Amino acid sequence: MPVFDCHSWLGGSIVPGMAQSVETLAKNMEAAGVDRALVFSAHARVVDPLAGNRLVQAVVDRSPGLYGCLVGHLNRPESSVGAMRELMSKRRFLALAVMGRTAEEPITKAMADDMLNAYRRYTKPIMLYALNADSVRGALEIAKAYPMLRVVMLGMGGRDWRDAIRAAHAATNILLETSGSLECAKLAAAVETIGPHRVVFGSWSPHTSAPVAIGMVEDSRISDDAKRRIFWDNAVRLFDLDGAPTPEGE
Amino acid sequence: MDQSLDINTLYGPLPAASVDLSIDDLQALMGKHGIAACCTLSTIGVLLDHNAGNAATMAACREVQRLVPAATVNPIAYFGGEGPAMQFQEDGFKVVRFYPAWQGWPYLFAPFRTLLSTLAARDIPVIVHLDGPGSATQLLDCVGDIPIRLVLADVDDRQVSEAVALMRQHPNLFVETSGLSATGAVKLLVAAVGAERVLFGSGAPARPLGSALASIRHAGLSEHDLARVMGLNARALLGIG
Repeated sequence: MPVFDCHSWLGGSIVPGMAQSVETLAKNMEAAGVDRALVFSAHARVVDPLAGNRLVQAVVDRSPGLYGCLVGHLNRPESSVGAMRELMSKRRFLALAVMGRTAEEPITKAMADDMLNAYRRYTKPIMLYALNADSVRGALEIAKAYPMLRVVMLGMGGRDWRDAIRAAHAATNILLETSGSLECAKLAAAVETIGPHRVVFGSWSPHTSAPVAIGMVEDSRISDDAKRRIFWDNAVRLFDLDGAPTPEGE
Repeated sequence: MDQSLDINTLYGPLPAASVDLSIDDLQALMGKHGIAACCTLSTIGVLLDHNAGNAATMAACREVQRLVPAATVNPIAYFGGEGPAMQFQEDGFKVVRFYPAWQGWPYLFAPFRTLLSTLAARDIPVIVHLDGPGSATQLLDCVGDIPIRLVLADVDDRQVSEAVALMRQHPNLFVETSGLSATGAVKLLVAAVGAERVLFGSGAPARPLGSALASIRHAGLSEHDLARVMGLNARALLGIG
């Protein structure tokens, strides 16, 4: 079963040498059986959006299996919008991740309006961390205010995954990304409530290694068809990659 | 013969985990993933009453030979004496597990320290479940010079450096792997302290057994180290073949 990892970071690992370069990313992906990955820049999140996203551009340009997710920081609006203007129209940048000071900090519509108004013309998905109930509420507010944008909840609510599933049920432009809490029960509940077509696989590597994240999906009590959609089909549709080569075709 | 042993499993009611934690489910998971034995205990002993829970654990483990019994005690409800340690040894429990965060008691806690002394006197190993950076350091402050074999459970990637620092000071200290989900964390730990002090644990069925296994099998360990981590170390610690 091919795997598209929608949530993989370049840099930011506590363990030395992990996810620091295109070589280590490729090696980790191959060992884990990941065929494609959407790469986020840790440098963009914690240091400088423009420089960090340019690093990701350099990485995705060198590896056909990698795509970029542009990281915008709410406290660095000028640099973030600059990065957006420079990179977002490129085919290999597939989405915008809107980040606050920490992954746990809720992002509200008021906080994100400026950045989202600058971004909406690209018509690509946005990614928001949703690792607790407050963050889920913020993401839901944004999803309802921007119905033309597809909103991916990174971490699908963390331990508050029931809130994330309820939010996705309330707004059909929300998709849930599988990282966050390592609990099999959340995937079965999500598939039952919103269907398998609105859940995408993400590992949050190197924070959680891809094999560990894959193991959770494989252990979940959902059909093989649902797993295939989560691992691959939904990401291809979300990012409009139907024309891109598949792992089977290579 | 497969010597794999998962040192960290639970069964019974656990509302926080949203899963059915029946003994049957645990056995089904073991079969699916090829785990030969599991060290387990009833959640009733952790959440409600350690005496009732320990009785349930022993009953389940007598029925299913592949399950290795772990006892538990809530130090808040321990009023001194050697009774629990004596009873555990008599009943055949192989290890005692402690849950400070779930039960709301601090790592530096006098009744806990007394309990540890009584368990150390009978050479019964213990597993203590941690709760974030700093908790292992507080735990070892509590242990002091008590000569007990101690397993740190739920160590995550933020606590690897803390575990390594403590393990270099305390030769009787081990780490269980269920929290080590970060890329490269298991290999880093094995390189720093040696494979003989790392024990496979999953937290199943509350957490996915497949994930826990993947973190070990994809760690890039040698066959020899893999065998040790997957069960030989735990069997030596628990004194089982």
